Amino acid sequence: MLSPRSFNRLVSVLLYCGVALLTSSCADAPEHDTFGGDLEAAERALRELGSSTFDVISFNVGAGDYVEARYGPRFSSYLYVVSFTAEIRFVRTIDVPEMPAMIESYRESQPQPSRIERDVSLLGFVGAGKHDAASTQSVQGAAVFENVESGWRFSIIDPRPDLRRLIEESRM
Amino acid sequence: MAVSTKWKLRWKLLAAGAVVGLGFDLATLSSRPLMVVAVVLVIVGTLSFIATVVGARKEGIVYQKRKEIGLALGTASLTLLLVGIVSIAVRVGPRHLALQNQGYDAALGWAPPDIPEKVGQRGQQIDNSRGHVVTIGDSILYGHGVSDTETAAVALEELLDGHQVLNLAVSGYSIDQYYVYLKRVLPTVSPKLVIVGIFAGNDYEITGLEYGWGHTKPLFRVEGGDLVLHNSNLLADNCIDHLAQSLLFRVLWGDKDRALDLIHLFCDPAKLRPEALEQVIAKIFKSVEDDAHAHGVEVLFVLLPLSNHLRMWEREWTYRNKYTRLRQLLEDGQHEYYEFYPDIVRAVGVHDRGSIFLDGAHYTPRGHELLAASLARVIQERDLLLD
Repeated sequence: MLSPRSFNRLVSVLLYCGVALLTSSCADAPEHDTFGGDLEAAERALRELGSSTFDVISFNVGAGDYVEARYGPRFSSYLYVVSFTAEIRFVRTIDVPEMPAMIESYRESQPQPSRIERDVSLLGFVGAGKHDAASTQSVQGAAVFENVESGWRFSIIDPRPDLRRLIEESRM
Repeated sequence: MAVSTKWKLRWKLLAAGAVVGLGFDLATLSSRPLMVVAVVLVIVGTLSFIATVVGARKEGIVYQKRKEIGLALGTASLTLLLVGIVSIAVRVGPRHLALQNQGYDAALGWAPPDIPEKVGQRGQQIDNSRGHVVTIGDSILYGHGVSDTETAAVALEELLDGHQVLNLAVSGYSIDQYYVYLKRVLPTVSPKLVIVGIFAGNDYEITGLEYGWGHTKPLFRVEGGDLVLHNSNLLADNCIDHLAQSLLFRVLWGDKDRALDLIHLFCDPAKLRPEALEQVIAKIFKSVEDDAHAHGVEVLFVLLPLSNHLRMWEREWTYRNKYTRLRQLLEDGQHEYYEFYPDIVRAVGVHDRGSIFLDGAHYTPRGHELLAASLARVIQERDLLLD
């Protein structure tokens, strides 16, 4: 039989093993695949937003990072958020209203979701006010990809380059 | 010196107790690697506790009282074990799953009772002298938080001359249950139009699970292009129902996230990943439409937003629900659908959400009225209710 002292030592060793196991389990392998999405989809989305309003002269992708958007009981999406900057040239003069004026304009018409979403995106990317034809502007934002079985599916472009932090901090 | 030894002993006992406690806490997280760690910690902590007691100095109080301590710990552990077993064995039903006017159902999980000439969770009397419009969905269209006379279905009936609007929405249902329930009631009510309310808050996610709100529900997969049920008899004894409806969970549902963690840990429920799930949802949308058309009935899907949807200047919500994916699936399937949120923006702007939403999802009586007016307008614009 083990003496109490030896038993104590054995238990101490087991305790250290437990702590070591706990530490290693904290560094779980990520539950998402390594990013391999189509970054050009983000540029296409920006061009689509600008159709008949602005051209995209240059498009540069910046740093990207993984983020898990958790919501509700036990639901989550694995996202890859990559920032970008772009140079755009307006093809016509536009006047982008501030959000309150934009919302007010919807009261007088039957707004289509596509129109609302385009208005909100345009306001986010180019800002409110008058933008003259042929003028250029630098815009920035983030492209979001979701991890699905077949890889990384492009979701959306968002006019906020610090989107990753915002998603992590936001709560339903 | 004696005081120092006594404190040393106390700290050892405390540390051992903390390790056991940490082990039990980790055990409640639904992670299998952490479960292994939890078991190790509980065993190590217990052994450490015993070793401290056994190894205590013979003149110490712990050594002298070791039998009493052992007896007390043994009795407490045995009692805890017995209480745990009994509280899991006794089924009382989950407190949070309000099965008002409903019973358990082998095909749906839960459903309104099958009473002749009555339908829905509100036990609505069928009036066969009028044509019918059917609304189907979850607690949003059912009208959680409002009275029988304040629902969108009642308001819509007033706007649709000569038709009875039957509210077949059931609290907690998801897209798969809309399909199964509609299939069941279509031959009985013979409607002219079916309105399916798709709630962006959780319809997508729960359709991909074999349980919803602590109760088993149908889970479909697409195999060879057909919908195949993963679980056919929902009344058969199963881990989820047994655990979720136990006496133990009657207490645990106070912390819904933790309760669901435990269900996942012990029952490992089936869950579809995004693309497989979207295949199922797309197929259900098509099947709902095919079944309805086979009965000569039109279908209108309406996308119901969360109140956060109106926070358009900050779009974090976009990443915490599947509104846009549901819309894409309806678009891809070329289904007759429309979105309700522009009408809310038009009616109250984006700041007065409280006049439309009771909480993040359900509508106030005014919200139901607005939804009814919105539905009536779309039905008229698209000629969906032709005689």
